[in-house]
Amino acid sequence: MRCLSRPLIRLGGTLLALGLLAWWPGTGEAHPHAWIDIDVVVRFGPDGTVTGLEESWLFDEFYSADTVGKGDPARIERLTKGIMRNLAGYGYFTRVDHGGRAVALAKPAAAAARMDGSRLRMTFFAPLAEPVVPSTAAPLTYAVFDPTYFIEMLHAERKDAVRLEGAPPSCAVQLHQPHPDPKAVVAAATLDRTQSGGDGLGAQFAEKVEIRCPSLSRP
Amino acid sequence: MSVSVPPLTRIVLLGVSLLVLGGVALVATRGGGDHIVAWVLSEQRQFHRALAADLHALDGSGSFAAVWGLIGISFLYGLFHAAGPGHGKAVIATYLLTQSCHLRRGLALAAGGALLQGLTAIVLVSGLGRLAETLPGGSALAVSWSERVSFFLLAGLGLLFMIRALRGLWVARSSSAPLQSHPLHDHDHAHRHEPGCGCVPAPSTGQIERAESWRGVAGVLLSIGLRPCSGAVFVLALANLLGLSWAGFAAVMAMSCGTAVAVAVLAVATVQARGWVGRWCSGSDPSGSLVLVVALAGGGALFLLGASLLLASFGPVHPLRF
Repeated sequence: MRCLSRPLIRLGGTLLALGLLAWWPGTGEAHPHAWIDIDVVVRFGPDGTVTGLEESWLFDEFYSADTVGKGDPARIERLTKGIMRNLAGYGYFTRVDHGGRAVALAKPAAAAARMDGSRLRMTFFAPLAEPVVPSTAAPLTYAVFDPTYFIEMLHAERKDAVRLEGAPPSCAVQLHQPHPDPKAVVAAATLDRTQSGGDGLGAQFAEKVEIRCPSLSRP
Repeated sequence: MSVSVPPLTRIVLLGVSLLVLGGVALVATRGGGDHIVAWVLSEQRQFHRALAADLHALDGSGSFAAVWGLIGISFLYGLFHAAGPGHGKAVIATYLLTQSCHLRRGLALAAGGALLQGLTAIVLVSGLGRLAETLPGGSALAVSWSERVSFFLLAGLGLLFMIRALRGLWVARSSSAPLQSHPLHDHDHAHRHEPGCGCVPAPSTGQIERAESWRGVAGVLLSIGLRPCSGAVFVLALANLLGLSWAGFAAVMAMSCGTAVAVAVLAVATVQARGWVGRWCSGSDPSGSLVLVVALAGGGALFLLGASLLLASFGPVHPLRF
């Protein structure tokens, strides 16, 4: 009995340490598994309303090599069609809010893809189902992310990764960095490649872009 | 043995461990966590970018510097990232903690598993991929089926460990006297127990256990080796595309070496830890039921991991995976 408690403490400590080491899957198999650099043009109509987002997705080298190889046009076209078809069920990985309320997207009119160096670049225009006015009280926010966090999608590290087209001069853009809950980070790190993070995980790692136009006061 | 460690030392050790754990927990949950998270995520991204950049540099110049750059970064990728496929370390640690405590075997399993993993990636992506070039996604299909076999073996291995543990516990229950033979161990050849192995020496018990031993070793090797790591698959795909297959092979082998080193460190730590526990309680727990209980739990965990991975692999496919 004298010995029983000591080995148990020791065993407990040892197992804890080993468990941390051993049962923590290498990040090589943990999420995310692909990276997309995004560029977004927020398009305004002549009346100062936002009509939609023009998105440009630059896939990482490995995803590009794996899916379209050298970039045979027929393969690119087939892949683009497949991606857009599959993304329809996921809202094109794009979430738009206006004053805190979700704004629906209409079906993107056209998607095109080409090789940008050795990486695949896909562009499409996602129109808002109803144009909205990004006022100070009710700003327009959007986030482009993979809800399962299989893919990490971040704005390209350039000043003009978000551009406003046809916007009134008072409009301002703000990009908010993600602050994931440590629990979400652990979840992502311990997920295997074949497992899904569930639909709440990706939002934790998503950048949020906020657009306000102080001069637009219409509701 | 336990008497020789002064209680003060033990208390100090325990205190230090608690402090370290507490510190890690504090950093992870408080402000510092954000930075660590950002660093880990960007580091993973950087590794992939560096691999791609090195392959392109090699494509452009073909210089020795580029070759060594690629090999170096691949080795580091294997060392830090993979440290085994998701389940590799768990398998090795559980095996060494509960089934066999031979250091040499642990090191051989670490090296063998990592090497086999690299070869699997090469065969599936470069070998089969070439054959199935006309069939898009052919190598991806081969990879996913190889993974499924690996998950199935993982679950089977967990089940095997559990059965062995239950059998051992049954024997321990039914005989009130201390066990003379240790049913848990892979009893191979001369059955030399290294010092600090933490089990009661017993004479070798022949062919049946030797067969069981090989079953365990094969299970560990195959369940690790049949799942190619995603980094290796990616590098091979890009290398093949650039017409640099040989560079892809070299990179994957370097990754395997890195993985082997990381897993070997874990193997040494496991054998060492088991030695401590064994020495500590050799007087009070001659039947080794502690190890048996751990084996039961470890086997159960491996089974659950394997089963859940197997199920997930048949689950919905990500919309951008083709």
